[in-house]
Order: sequence, then C-alpha cells, then structure tokens
Amino acid sequence: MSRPPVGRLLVLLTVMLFGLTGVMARLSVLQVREGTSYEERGYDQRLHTFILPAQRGSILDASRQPLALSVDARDVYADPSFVRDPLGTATAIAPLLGVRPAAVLRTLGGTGFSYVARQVDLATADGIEALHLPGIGFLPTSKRSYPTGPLAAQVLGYVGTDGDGLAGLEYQYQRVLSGTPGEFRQEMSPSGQPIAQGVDETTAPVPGDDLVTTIDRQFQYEVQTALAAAVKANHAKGGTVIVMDPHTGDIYAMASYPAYDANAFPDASAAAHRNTALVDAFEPGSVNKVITASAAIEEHAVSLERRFQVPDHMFVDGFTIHDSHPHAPEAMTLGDIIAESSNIGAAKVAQVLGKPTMSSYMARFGFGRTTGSGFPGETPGDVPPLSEWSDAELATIAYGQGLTVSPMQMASVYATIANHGMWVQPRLASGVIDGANVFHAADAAPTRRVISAPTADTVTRMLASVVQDGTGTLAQIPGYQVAGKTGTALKVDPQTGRYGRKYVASFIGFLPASDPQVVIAAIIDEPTTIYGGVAAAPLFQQVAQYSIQRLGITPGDPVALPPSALGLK
Amino acid sequence: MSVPARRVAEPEPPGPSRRARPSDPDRTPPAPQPSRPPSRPQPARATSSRRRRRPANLRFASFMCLVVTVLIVGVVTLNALLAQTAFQMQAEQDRVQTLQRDAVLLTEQAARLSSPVVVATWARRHDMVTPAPGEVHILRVPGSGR
Repeated sequence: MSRPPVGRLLVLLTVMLFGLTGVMARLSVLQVREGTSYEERGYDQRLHTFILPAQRGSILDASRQPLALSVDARDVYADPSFVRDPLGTATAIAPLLGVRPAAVLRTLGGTGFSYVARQVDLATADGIEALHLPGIGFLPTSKRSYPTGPLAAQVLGYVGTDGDGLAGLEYQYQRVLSGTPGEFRQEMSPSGQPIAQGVDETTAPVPGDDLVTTIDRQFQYEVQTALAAAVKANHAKGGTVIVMDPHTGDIYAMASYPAYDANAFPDASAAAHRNTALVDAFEPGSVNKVITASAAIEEHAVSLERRFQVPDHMFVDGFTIHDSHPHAPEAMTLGDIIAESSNIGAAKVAQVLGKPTMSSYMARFGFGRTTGSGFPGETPGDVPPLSEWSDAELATIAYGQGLTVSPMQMASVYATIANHGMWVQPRLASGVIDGANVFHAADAAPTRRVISAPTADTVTRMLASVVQDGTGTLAQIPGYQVAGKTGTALKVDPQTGRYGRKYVASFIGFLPASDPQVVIAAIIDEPTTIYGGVAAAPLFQQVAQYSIQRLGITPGDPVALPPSALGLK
Repeated sequence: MSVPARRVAEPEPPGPSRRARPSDPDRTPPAPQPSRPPSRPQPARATSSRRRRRPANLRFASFMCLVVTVLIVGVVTLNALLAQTAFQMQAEQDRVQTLQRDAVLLTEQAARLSSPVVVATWARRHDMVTPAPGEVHILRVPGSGR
C-alpha cells in the first residue's frame, strides 16, 4: 500500500478550514452584527397593521339638530378573476345601484381588485349581497349624509370618499370631527394565518366630537328661500345673505345662491360650491359710506349741522365722479349725504378727513384682512396701500369703489355700529360635544373697540334716516325702526379690467335701531334692477320680518334722526 | 366456671406488647376482670386491622372520587357557563352595534324628515300658508329679557 497523499490532505484540510472560517464569519455577521436588523425585518414582515377608522362627528345646528352626520355604508368591490359571467353580473347589479350596466361592466373587466361602487347604503348593499354573485364582495365603510340637503351646503362643505373634510366647516374642523383612528396589529404567517402566541393587539378608535354651529336651520331655510326668490325676481346671477347677532358675532344664517344639495356635491358647479359670503370679494359701493361717516364723526372733522354744497358730479385728479342721479347743486348735511347716498358728498367728506385718516379707518373696521372666522378660503379683500392712494382713490373709496371686501367683512362693519362701536369677530361654531355627550362652549368671540359708542349711535341715527326718508324706504317694516344703507356698486369687467355695465346691489342694516338685535346683509349680484334700494332692500325686509318672528324682536323706542338740510323728517 | 381467673394471675412473658411493662408496686393491683375469651394470637389481630382499614380506604377513595367528580363537573359547568356568557356578551355586543347603527340611521331619517325643506313642501302641499308679517304680533311679557 502506498502512503496517503499527506500534502493533498493538508491542502484539503486547509481549504475546508478556510471554508468553515468563512461560514463562521458570515454566521457571525448575520447573527451578531446584523442579527437585530434581520430580526426586525422578519418581525415587520409578520406584523400586519390594520387601521380602524374612527366614526366622524356630526355637525349640528344651534338647536342640536344634525346638519351633517356619518352613517354606516359599504363599498362594493369585484375580483374579476372570480366573476364567471361579467355581463350577467353587471346587468344584475346595475339596477340596484341606479347606474347603467355598461358602467358596472367596466369595473369587472380588469385583472385585479376594483371598486364597483363606493359608500353604498346598507339596504342596497344587502340587496346586492342577496344575489350571491361570485367575485363580488363588500367592505364596511361610512358615508356622510346631509339630511337637510341644500341648507347651508356651502357653509358645511363636504368630505371625500376617504372621509376627510375637503371644504367648508368639514375641512376647517377636520381635527375635531375626525377623531382618532384605531389600530389592529397581528402577527401573520406568509399565507395570512394568524400566528398563535404572536402579537394580537387592538387599539379602539376614538370617535370624533360633534360640532355645534350657530346656524339655525329654520332661519337658514327661510333665508335661502327668500334669496332664491329675490335672485330670480331680479334676473340676477347670484346673491348672498348673512344674518348675525351683533353682540356675540353668532351667525344665524349664511346663504349663497346658486345653492346645491350637499349630498350630491360632485354634480354641482364650482360656482355653486362657493360660500360667497366669505370667499368672494366685491366692491361694496355706497354701503361703505358708513365708514366715511363714522370717521368724520369720530374725528370731529364734520359736525352734524355742517352743510356741504353737493353738485351731481365733480372732477378729481383728472377723473369725473358723479352721483347716481343728476341733480342741481344742493346743500347737504352729513346725514343727508348718507340718507341720499351722495357719492360727491361722501368724496367731499373724505377730502376733509384726508388719506391717512380714511386709510386708518378702513383698517380699523377690518378691511384688508380676514375676519378671523377661520373659514377655509376666506378672502381678506383688497384695500390699496396708503402709498398708492391718489386723490381720485380717496374720493372713490369714500363711496365704496376702488377696494374690495367680503360680504362678511361688510356685515361686520354694520354689526360694529349696531354693537355701539365694538367689533365682534363673527363665528360659525359655538362649541363641541365630546364622546361623553358633554358640551364644551367655544371661547367668546374676540372683540375690539373701533369707534366710540356715541359715534356709533350717531351713525345709527343716520342709517335710520336712510330707511325712513332716504334710498332704503323699501326696507321699512311697520312698527319697527330699521337702520341700514343701500349700495349700488359697479363691477369690474374681468376681460377689460375696467368698470363695465354690471352692478352689485346691496342693503345692509339692523333692527330695531335703538336696540339692535340682528344684522342682515342682503347682496344681489348683477340684478336687472341695479339699485340696492330696489333690488336688495325688499330682500332685507323679508328676512328682517322673519327675524322679528324667529327671534321675538320687539319694536323698541325710535331714535332721533340727524339734522337735515333737505327737509328730511 | 371460673377457671380463667388463675390464668390472669400468671406473670406475662416479656415481649413487645404494650402491656409488658413491669408492674408498678405503687399501683393498685388490677381489679378482677370479668370473664372474657382468651386473647387471640397476633396474626389473627393483624388480619382484623386490615379488614377494618379496607372499608376506610374504600370510603376515602369514594370520597375522593366524589370530590374529583364534583370538581370536574364544576369546572366543566363553570367553563360552559363562561362560554355561554361569552356568547351572550358577543350577542349583546352585536345587538348594541346594531342598535347604535339603527339609532344613527333613525337620527338621520328624523333629521331628514324634520328638515325645513321637507316640512315646508309638505305644508304647501296641504295648502298651508305662512302668516303675513302684519298678522304676527310680538308680545312683550313683563320681566322677560327682550
């Protein structure tokens, strides 16, 4: 026998040792250095987390009646690989869903999971389930319902299919309404079977709180009905009405026209979605003269007895400004200028005040910034910076042209006058109701002093004169002294960038003049009868009459009218 | 016949018996005992003890069997009751969920039916009219706010 090849055995041993060393090294790397990482990756692969959606809170009106709430619903889905007869399935499902079979058939033609219909009500889903169609399944979900349909639709907004608020209060109070989603965590095998003794934890979802608004749905209905009728009667493009409490800032009703049914928001036009009271800006026109008058009285720049010679037109800085009607030059007091809504008179008062004073009063009344209501998309309006004010702008801004504001900003100006010079931030929400059914009132609306109480009361007398003897007589209510102001503003043509032939008619006021309980802003966009005193005052009157019934407003004592050079009573 | 009396007087052989202690001189001699049968041999006494222990063991075993049976029956019954309660709780939870869902649906339905839009439409259909502004009089109650 020959001797074993020792050299070869040594080589083989060395190779094996090297190999084993390599294996050991790799094992060390896997088990020691990267062990934790691999362990975590494995754990992550086994652990499956399912989100348990929280029940979305309701939106309630001031009397706790639901304006929006979530109800159980089901998503209908298809797994086309299990659908044996697509055409038959589509034909069977379509009538129950109220769609054409072709629409259902499209969802059955793919290769993987597809939704046939989402957020289907339970009765319809039960009907489809009873058909026992192969490949058709159901997933639990919830659906947002707006039981009052078109009432306050632009204020409430809407939610998407994933349950998140996309507009209006639904978006603004998303955090309050949405609650906290729960979680279901479970360790599962690759085949989807739960692993015994593995992680199996459930964190229950916390439902969202209910939001209590200041909106009175009965009031809202009356306002929306009156607005729709007024817009149609004036062959107008649209309109806005705001009804608010001047002392608390609570908004009883906020209506925009055109309206839409919140349950069918995808079908509505983009224009109908707009809450014009807050997101649209307009040139206010003569309703802005109340700021000019307030500034003049507060600054003691113009006495109530002072008479201005007011022609029907005036040249300022190369431009001609004029009153709405031709008239011979007349002597007018400040009260007459407001009552007769003289543009020239307002411009003359503004010239007395000067640009800085006028600019500061615009800012003090909140122009150029949002009201702070927090409503999504609220416009701050547009007031030119003082450095850009020409003499012509001083004159036009005095009677409400050359700047833009939102209807809400303008209503707040009148609420300030009605509240004896104290500005109150308007608000749409009065509090929340938590899961334990406990109401948590919202903080009182912020306030700030804008003008003194005597000044506000003097301006109120002027506004009462407008309704009694001036341009706003159509807003009169027998037995009540109404204070308000008409507005007729030219609109800028967006194509030319210049004033066109279309107007915004408005009437904003409050009642009773001696003890204001409610402020109403009525605005009609592009009416055929352009004057605010004709197009908007009757709408104001109608809403005011309902306010008297709804709020139980008593007439109060009449206030004395300001001195007049025109013989106004 | 009083023959056994003599045998009693005989000294007992020393042994392991408990009675094989030396007699105490101070102790009163045992009184004459009535006649009785002669004591049996030891093996006979052991058999008798086993016979006496057997029923005791039997009783103990029976008792243990009874205890175990009662325990098993108790545990099974308790388990069954727990299971039944769990089923009842599950059924009640399902019922609560169903009722909550129904409550929401009914709330929604009530809100829909009491909506001013629906009420006004119904009222118009039944020839109801809203009062003219002049027909409504607000009366001030003394002591009320407004």
